[in-house]
Parts: sequence; C-alpha cells; structure tokens
Amino acid sequence: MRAKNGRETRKSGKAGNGQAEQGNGKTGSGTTEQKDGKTGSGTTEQKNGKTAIRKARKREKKQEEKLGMKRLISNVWYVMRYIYAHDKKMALSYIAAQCASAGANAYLSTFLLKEIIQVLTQGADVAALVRLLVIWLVIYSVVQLGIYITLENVFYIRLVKVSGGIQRELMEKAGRIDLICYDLPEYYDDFVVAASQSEGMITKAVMCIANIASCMLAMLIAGAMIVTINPVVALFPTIGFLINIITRFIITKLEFQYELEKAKIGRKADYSRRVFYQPEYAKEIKLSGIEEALIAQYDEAVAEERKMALRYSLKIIPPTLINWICVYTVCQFYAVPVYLAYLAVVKKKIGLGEVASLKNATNDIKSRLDGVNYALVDFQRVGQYAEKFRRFVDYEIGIEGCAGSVAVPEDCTLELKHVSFKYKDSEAYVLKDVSMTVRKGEKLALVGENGAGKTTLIKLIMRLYDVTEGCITYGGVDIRKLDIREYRRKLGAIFQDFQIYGATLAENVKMDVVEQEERTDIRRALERADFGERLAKLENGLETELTREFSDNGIMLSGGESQKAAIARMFLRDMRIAILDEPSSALDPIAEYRLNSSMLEHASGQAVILISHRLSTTKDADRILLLEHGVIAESGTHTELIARGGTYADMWKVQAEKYGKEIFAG
Amino acid sequence: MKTKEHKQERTYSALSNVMYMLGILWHGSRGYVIFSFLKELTENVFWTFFSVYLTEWIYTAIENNTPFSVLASFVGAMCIGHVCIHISAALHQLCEKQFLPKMYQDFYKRVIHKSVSMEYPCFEQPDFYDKYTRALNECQWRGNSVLYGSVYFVSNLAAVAAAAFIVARVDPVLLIFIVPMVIVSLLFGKKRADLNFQLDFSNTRDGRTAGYAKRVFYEKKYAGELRLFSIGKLLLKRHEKAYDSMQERTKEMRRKLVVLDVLNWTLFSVFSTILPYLYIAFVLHKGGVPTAAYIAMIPALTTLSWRTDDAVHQLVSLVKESMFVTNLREFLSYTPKSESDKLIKAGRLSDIEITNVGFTYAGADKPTLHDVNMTVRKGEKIAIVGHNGAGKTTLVKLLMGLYEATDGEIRISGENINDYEPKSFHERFGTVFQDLQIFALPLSVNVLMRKPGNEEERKLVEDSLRKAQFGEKLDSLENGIDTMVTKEFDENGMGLSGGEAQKIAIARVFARKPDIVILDEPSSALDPIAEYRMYQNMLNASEGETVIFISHRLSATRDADRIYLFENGTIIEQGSHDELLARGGTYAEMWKLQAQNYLAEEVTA
Repeated sequence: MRAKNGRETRKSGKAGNGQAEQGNGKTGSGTTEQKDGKTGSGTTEQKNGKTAIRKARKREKKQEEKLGMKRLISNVWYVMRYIYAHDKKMALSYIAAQCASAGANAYLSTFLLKEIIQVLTQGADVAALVRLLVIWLVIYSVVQLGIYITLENVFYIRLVKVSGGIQRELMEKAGRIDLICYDLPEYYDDFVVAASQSEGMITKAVMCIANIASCMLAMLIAGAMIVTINPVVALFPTIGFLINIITRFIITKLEFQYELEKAKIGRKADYSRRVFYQPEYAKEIKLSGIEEALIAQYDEAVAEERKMALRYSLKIIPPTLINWICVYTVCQFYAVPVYLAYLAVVKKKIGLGEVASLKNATNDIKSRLDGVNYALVDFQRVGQYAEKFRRFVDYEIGIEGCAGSVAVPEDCTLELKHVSFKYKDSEAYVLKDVSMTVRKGEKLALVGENGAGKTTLIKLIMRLYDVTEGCITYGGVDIRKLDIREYRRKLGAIFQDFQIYGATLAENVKMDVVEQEERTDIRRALERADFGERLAKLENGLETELTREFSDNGIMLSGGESQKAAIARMFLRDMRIAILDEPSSALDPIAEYRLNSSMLEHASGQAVILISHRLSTTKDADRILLLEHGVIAESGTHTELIARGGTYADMWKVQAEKYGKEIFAG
Repeated sequence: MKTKEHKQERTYSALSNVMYMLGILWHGSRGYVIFSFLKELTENVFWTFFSVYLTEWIYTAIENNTPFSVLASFVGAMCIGHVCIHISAALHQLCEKQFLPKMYQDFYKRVIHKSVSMEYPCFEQPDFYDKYTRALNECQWRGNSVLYGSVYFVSNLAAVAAAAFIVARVDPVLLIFIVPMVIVSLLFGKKRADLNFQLDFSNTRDGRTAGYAKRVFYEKKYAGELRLFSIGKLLLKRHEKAYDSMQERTKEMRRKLVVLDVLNWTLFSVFSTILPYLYIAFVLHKGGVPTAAYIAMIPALTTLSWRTDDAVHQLVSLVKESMFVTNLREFLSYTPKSESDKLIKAGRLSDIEITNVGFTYAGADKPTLHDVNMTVRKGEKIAIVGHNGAGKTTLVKLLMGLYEATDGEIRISGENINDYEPKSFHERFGTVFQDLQIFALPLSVNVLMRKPGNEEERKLVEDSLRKAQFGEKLDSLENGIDTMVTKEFDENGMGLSGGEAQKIAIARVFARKPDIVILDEPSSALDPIAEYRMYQNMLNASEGETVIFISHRLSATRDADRIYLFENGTIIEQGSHDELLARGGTYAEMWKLQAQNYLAEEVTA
C-alpha cells in the first residue's frame, strides 16, 4: 500500500521472490561486515591533538556537503557503467527481464483486460472470451514464463561471478593504494569501507534502475490505455505523480539526514556491542565490572537516538501525510471513481465496462508508483554511497604502481640522505633529518623508546611511505626511480605486528603460492627459525592449515611460535637487506638467544637492520643508532656509545643494572 | 553452522520460538507490540474493504443508476476512513523510531547480563562463543524480523479472510479457485525456501574463504605485509576459486528453480485468472445475476490470490526466521553456576594456599598444571617465572577463579575460592594483563571502571594516574580525567601509545585498592626505562598488598620475596633470587643466559 514496505507491488509475478532474495542478501552481508569492521583502533598512536581537531572539522564539513540531484544521478550512472564494463549481459538481462515483465503485465491488465471486461459486460460471449484468454495465455507464457524467468535466473547466476570479480578488482586496488591512506581516517573510511561494501551496492543499483525503468514503462502503458478512453482521467494520476515527486523528495531527504545522524549516534552503541563481542575483552570485562559503564554509555546513545528520532519524526510526518492523502486518498481513491461515476451516471458518456477498465488502470498506475518510490530510496542510497566508491576507483595508485625507470642496481648499499617525514596535515615531524648508510653485510641496530620513529623509518626504507624531504638511495639510485616490486624483493622486513594468515604453514612462510620443489627450502627456513621441533609435531607438517579462519581443525600458533614462523619468512627469501622489527618480543630468553645466533649464522652475506628496545639483543651490532624524537641522537658501536655516556649509556645502565649488580656481588 | 548441526539437544517448534521472541519484545515495549499488531490489522482489513468492497459498491451503484450525490458522499465517507488509516500509519512510523531502539536496548541488556554472569571458560569454548556472538548480533534485528513477520502474516490472513467474505457474498463458488492456489503457493514456497537454504548451506565454507580474503585486503593490520609479500596473490586465487564454486552451485540451483518457477506461475495463472474468468463468463452468459458485482470480482480475485500468496510466503519466511531464534533462546537459557546463593561474599583477602592443584583443559589429554603447591602470605611479593607455555598464566587464571582447578584446591583467607561469590571476589584483585584493553570511555571510567560518583572518587582517579606515571600527560589534557579515550567515536578523543595504555592499566590497580595485585607480563610493550620505573612504582605503591608478578624476564623479578620457577606445568624450583642462584639449577642457568650480554660489558667496563 505504501512504498515503505512495498508489499503491494502486485501482479508482476515477482514480488515475493525478488524481495526475499534482496532480504537475504542484506542480512547476510550486514552481519559479516559488522564482524569484520574496525577491530583494532583501540590504541592508535595519533597524539597530535590539534590535527585531530582540524581533521574532525573537515570530516564534519564533508558530511554536510549534500549531494545535489545531478551528482546523485551521475554517481548512479557511474556505478552502472562500472558494472556494464564488467559484464555487459548481467545488468541488461535483469533490466530487460523487469521491463518485459512489467510491460507485458501492464498490457495484459489494461488493454487486454479492457477487452475482456467488454466481452463480459456485453453478453459474455464465451467464444470471444476464450479467444482473448488464449491471447492472454500466449503473452503471459512467452514473456512471464519464458523471457522473464530465464533472464532473471541468468542475472542471479552472473551476479555471483560478477560480484566476485568486482570484489577482487577492488581488493587488488586496496592492496595497491598507498599505505598512508590506511593511516589517515578520512581516506580509510572513504576508500576502504566504501570498497568493501561494494557488492550490496551493485545489486541494489541494478535492481533500482530496473525497477524504475520497468515501473515507468508500465505506467506509460496504463496511461496510454486511459488516454484512449478518456484523456481527462489521466489527469488525476498525473497530478498524483507530480505531488508524489515533490513530497517524496522532501521525505527522502529528511530520511537520509535522519539515517546519517542515527549512524553517527549508532557508533557509540556499536562500540559497546563490539567490545562485548571480542574475545580479547572478555577477561577484562569479567574481572573489572566495567560492563555497567559500557551499558550506561549505550543507554545514553539510545536516549540520544530517540530524542533525535522524535525531532525528525515530527518533521517527516507532515509531508508524509500530505503525500499519502493527496496522492492516494484524494487523487486515486476519491477523484478517479467519483469522476468516472460522474461520467457514467450524470453524463452517461461511458458504460460500466469502461469504468471498470479505467479504475483498474489507475490502480495499476498507483501500485507502480509505489514501486518507483521504493526504488527511489535505493537510488538515493546508491548515489550517496557511490560518491565514496567513485573516489576509490578513481584514486590513482601512487607508490605501488611504480614501474621504475632504472634497473635495480647490483650494489646494495642503502643510503638515507637527510630524510624527514611527517603525515599530511600534520605539523609534527615523525622523523627529522635522518641520514645513515647500510653497507653490504653490515649488522645495524636501531634502538630507542617507543614512539621514537623506528617503525616509520623502516616503512620509509621499504617504501611503504614516501619521504617528505630528503631521499633514500639504493646502490646510488633514488628508490623512487626503481621498480617497486623488484626493489622490495631485494629487501625483507618482518614487522612487529606481523600477521599469520588463514593458509597452510608453508604458504605462511613463502607468503605466496607454494610449488612442490620449494618445500625443502621452506622446511629448512623453519628449522633455522627454531620452528623445527614444533614442525615435527604437526601431523600434516607443512600442509597444516593455520588459524581457524577456514578450517575448524586449523592450528592456532602461540605468540612465540607465530613469531618464529614469521621469521622463517626471512630465511626463505634471498635478499640483500633483512629488516627485523622487534623480532623476539614474544619469545622467552632462551628462544631469543637461539634465534639470534641462528640469524647471525645464516645472514652472513646480508645486511641486517635490527630494531629492538632490549639492548642485549642489539649489542653486538656493527653499528647502533639511537633514535630519539625522530632524530638520530647517537650512533656508534656499543663500546663507543657506552664510552660517550649519553642516553644510550643510561638506557644500558638501567637494563644491565639488575644483572650487573650480580657480578659485583658474586 | 557446525554447532547447529550436532548441538541441538532441544528443538523448539516454530510457533513456540515465535512466541518466545514476541515475549521478549513484549517485555521491551508492550505498547509498541500491541500497536504494531493493531495498526497492521486494521489497515489491512480496512484496505480490503476499501479496495474490494468499495469497487463493487461503486460498480453496482453505476449499474443501478444511483444518484451521483449519494455516490460521491459514500465514496467521500470511505475516504475519510482512509485518511484515519494514514494518520495511524504516520503515528506508527513515529513509534517505530521511538520504541524500536528501546526494544533493542532491553533485548541487548538481557544478552549482556547473561554473558557477564557466565563463567570465563565459556568464552574460550568456540561453541559457546559462537552462540554468544550470534546472540549479540541478532538481538539488534532478529526481534524486528520476527515481530514484523508475525504482524504481516496475521494481518494478511485477516485481509484474506475479509476479501474471502466479500467475494463469498457475491458468489461462494469463486472461492473454490483459491484453494488450489494456496496449495500451490505452500508447496512451491517451501520448495524454494529449501533450495535457497541448501545453497546457503553448501556455500558456507566458500563464503567464509572469500570473506576472509576480503578482510585481509581491507583491514589495516594486514596492509603492510600485503604490500611487501605476495600473500595477496594467494588470497585472490582462493577468493576466485571460492567464487567459481559458488557460481557453479548457484547455476545448478537456479536450473532447478527455473523449472519450479515455470510450473508455479503456470498453475498460479490458471487458477487465479483463466478459470475464474471462464467461470464469470459462464455465469454472466447464463444471466440473472448483477454484472457489476461480477466485474468487480475480477480485481478482487487478483487481490485475494496475491494476498494468499503473500501470506504463504510470509509464513514460510517466518518459520525460517523462527529457526534462528533457537540460538538466542539457548543462549539466554544457559544457567550459570554462579547464580547459586550459597556463595560467600568476599571480604578482604589475606593468605593464599594452593594445595596439589592440577588443571587440564577440556578436551586436552595432558594436564597444563599438575601438583602445584604454593603458600603466599599477605603482603609478600611473589614472582612466577618460566618459559612460554610453562603454565604461569593458567595458574593465575585459576587463582582468580576464572577457571576451576581440576585437581586439588585453592584457599584464600581459609576459604575455598569456589565458595566465593565471583563478583565480590574479583573486586579484591587488581590485574594488569599483557593484552590489556583500553575502552572508548572517559579516562576516569577507564581507571575506576565505573563512573566516578563524587569528588573523592575523582581525586582517587587522579592520584592513581599520577602514581602510574601518567601525570605529565594528564596535565596536558584540556578536559583532565574527563577526556574521552580513543578516537573510536570522538574525533577529539585521546589516542594512546602502548606505553600510555599500560600506565592506565596500572592506574586501574591503584584505584581499586586491591588485596592481591597480579601482573601478567605487563612490561613487554615498555621500553627498558619505562619498565624499570613501572616495577619500582608498583612495588612502592603496593606496600602491604600481596603482589604476584609473572615474567620471563628475570631481571624484572629478581627483587621478589620468593620466586617460583615453572616448567612443564609444575614448580621445579623456588626460593629467593640468591638462593636459587646458589642452588645452581635451571633458574641459575636461565639467569646466566639472560645476563650474559650485560655481564660481559660490566667486566670490560
């Protein structure tokens, strides 16, 4: 009856089916996305208050900038073109199916029905009726049973393939976008979130376009039938249609604003849900009794939402009532029958047959109008959403697309010349004027307090970020001139927050598709990383599935074991420079010791950059660089730095003290 | 999916599940549930009369040449009724926005309160955990879909009855055509739902694979490695394979569906259109009946048939929906042990006595801990050291009552800890875990773990933060302890480094004034200077309290009154640092290994 629930989209023989499918899709993807959503933003290292405020303002502004109708249409058009480029037949088959069905049904329920009613009111000649019913049956079978059902199913089959393909294309893009985008929320939210939700949008875009097109077609046919009998009658649905467009536009806009605010408030409620959801919080919640505070926050969010909802409801109700009363009650249910009755009873211009046909046709128009309204809501959603999608797709790949103009040199000296780095929009430098050289076979250590910029420096060397000032050269060539993949192949880095993937153990070490002949190397790498003992215990050896992502029998490695597996990645790769960011933090002292010796033993020809805040780990390095507030404060060998008596010497003292006392005592 | 397969000891009927869910919603907002039913019922029944009966009336009036004024005013009167229905619908929209959140709130709290009362080991069981997260997720929308499912079904049924009544008045024979249609709808609706379910079910695994691959590409934590290694290639391959097989399955299912659809619609059109039209023609041809009424029956029959079809679909999906309620129901009907009222409220805790304690994880064949004996007097500083996996953390979990010992017993203040009421018992502990968590709540709440009620408590929060070395940062905060922590939903929220988060966790311990402090490797994220300061602080501040440190860094724990060395699930050495060194056992060995680098230095220096 109303667009709100679309129950009354009758007659076209698809209402139940199509809707059920849409419904399934929605709930399914909704839940997984929620689960996937932001997990680890608990403690980020963004500390610059001022930039945060500015960023917040900027984002608010962005949310305020309303998209005009023109932009919305162009956005939807963009999405449709994108889909079309992927699979020409998919969208077309669905639109064609809907239009064929709607057109045929409209014809049957207006023109043909008119004939049938004529026969029935004028003596009910059975032979004539049978002739009409045969026509009815032929059109119905050909269009509804033949064309519509076939095309619709073609669409659903293709949809799987296409959404998979589009997903992969976007995933690949996400994997090549500059890493810096992940660190800046305004990009991250827009791009990544937009791209990860693309599937639902694609289906929605196709469906709403098909619905709008098919409903319009049906309305035109019904309108044409009305005009053939009495053009004046067509006036009422037309007026209704115009009023509908205007009021619907106001309502949709208000609803959209409401949804936006609701989403904003909903973040609070969502957060508290997520906290209860995640296993890592379970212990803390259990012991601390913080649930009351979290629930209180949730309650606040709900109260706020209800207050906001009331405000919007009061704004939405008047145009809604105007819409319903004018479009449905007055134009549709009062004016049409009364005018028809007037023509029949007072003017005696038309008979019962015409009255019935006209009434049926206007009813048809009304239900199609519902369909359009329903589709318009989706249209707007798709248009809004596509704004982000568009920005993501059009985003130009920076670093990751670098093919390089110079071949990667054989000489593997890495040099940083006056390198500085800061995040865009931030005034504070993370690194400032850092210069250093790493030569072949050298063992270099980077030490310093948390937040001194060690990890950022590594990211610059790996060219995950580009330097803000200065340059980094490899074999004398600016790394920005090198093919990014070739360059990175010469280097290997294991970060502090390395990840274990839902794949086999071998694949987790190789970090690529594993060929049979590589298995010996992988095994050796694991043994060098001190993982041999554990490997021997694994029933499926290298083929063991890690994590429970896919297989419920997957093995969960402990923190120390994961670290060893990650380090094995380094042993496998034939690289010139190995970079290890806190490689042994999860290991106990004996394991750490064994790993260190193994590393030194096997990395004889490679340069090694080791980051650690445990100074005993880095003490034997050829050179130690101490980073402090983004600047290299001290550098030299351990002995030199101790002799110098600076910060390093202090740190060393604190760490060694406990052990050191022993030696004097004993 | 797996859990659902074999863990369904109890099966509930669809009706009982629907009633159960409605009961929950009823509790959340009685008025809204009633209003929803009422509104939808009146709307649908009125609408049936308005469209079907009014049409018949108008046609008849035209046929009988009723005066135009009568006609216009009758239609007008009906339209006023229609306006009333609009007003009720608008009111319902308002109520929906007002009371749905309230209903969810009530529902959500039920799930949370249940989960909080569950024993900790439940959270480590994938089965339970799966149920729990699903329940949490579902309480946001499952209620709504069941409510609307039943509201629509009931009101549709009423509309069908009303339409049938109107049609029967004209000619009861017309209703005969409806009966086979109901059967057709039911049959095919069920079959279609089965096919869909089968497809979903067989796609579960591939869906998981694809979802995982997708997640890796979009989650921040994977972004770095994705660019440095070729793991992305591997995942894309898996994704493609998963989608290929999903498409294969979809194709197969759709093939069956095409046949089903063609049959369905053929039968449907025969019964809803061809036969009734022929019948009407037959009756009108015979003559002696009012033409207008029969003409009006053409749209009436269409309405009736679609309504019936809708009702059947709604029934099928409601039954499907109700199946999912089982999960929630099972979750909410778990009975946690701790609700028994024989438990003692914990007062101040003093000495700890651990006697012959052993612990085996459910399903494990080897005990994680065995034959552990330990006595800790009030105020002692105890260190537990040992390799990863030696059982240190498990012992602490036993001590805090998160797990129950499978052998032996733990007594604190002379009582078996299982006899304590968990909430009050946990309050006596202050803990900092390695995987400590910071919440997106104001700083004060993050320290006190509840909203500070008065000035005194606010002062306590501030003091605790200062003791935990957070003072400098605190002074730089504009809103002091009311600052929102994390940027989760407040752009101006304070982001924390690992070290700062740790300091907050330590401040929690100070604010709590616990009897027993447990530090489970809290210093691993700290740099040496911060680590050193933290331990000093902790020791200074916890004068008189029992402190238990867990660490694998021996330098951190050497000042403890007593050190327990764990290996393979039991204590192999114990004593003070000096005693253990003198003994020359495993501890001494470990010490030497760790000190080696530092020692060499001191010698040369």
